[in-house]
Amino acid sequence: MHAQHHYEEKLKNFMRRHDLAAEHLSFEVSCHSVAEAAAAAQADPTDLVKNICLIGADGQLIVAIVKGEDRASASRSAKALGLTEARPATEAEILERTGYPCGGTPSFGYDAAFLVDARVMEKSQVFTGGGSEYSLVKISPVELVKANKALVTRISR
Amino acid sequence: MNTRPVSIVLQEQREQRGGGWEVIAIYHDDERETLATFSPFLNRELIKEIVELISRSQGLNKYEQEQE
Repeated sequence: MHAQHHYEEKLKNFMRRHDLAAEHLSFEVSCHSVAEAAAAAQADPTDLVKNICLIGADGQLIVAIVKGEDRASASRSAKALGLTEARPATEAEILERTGYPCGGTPSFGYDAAFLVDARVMEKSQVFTGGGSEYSLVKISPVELVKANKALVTRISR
Repeated sequence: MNTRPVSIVLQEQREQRGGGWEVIAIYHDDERETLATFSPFLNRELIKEIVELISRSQGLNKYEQEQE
């Protein structure tokens, strides 16, 4: 519980410092999977986004953000950044490189090459990781891209 | 290797197809790829802001607008 609180507070501090128009939501139940997160937030699964962490051929952390129902393409993500390939990050790498645990990884608030699938922009509001497995952030895609300075392109399969 | 588009087009769809908007990326080889589609009921200013954001993120300082 203490670690969970630490991660959520770190993200909330980032949101305050950058004056983000977003809402941080904490829950008693897990938000790890898209289905769990949708149930916790009483939202449609299509309103959720996933933050897929990849490691590029050059070693950089890439975060591919796609709609809950879509799958991120590692090859499209690598190509978008001019890299030959990218591989999924391990849970340990996700924690080490983002500063947040797998299952709660936010869409902003740490150093990475952020990619947002253009289909995410079709939504008026989305829910993304809130720092821990028990929290979410509600934010508009426009505000999300302003927060992480992402490249918006096609990265879903 | 880098697959950035050379231009971004906001295309208004024909009413016969339900209307709405399509954001299209055009690449060096003239290949066109639909990036996103928007309902005809969405605020035009918001669509404009989104397309500008997509274009800027791709390193382009403007987008084109056309009718289907």
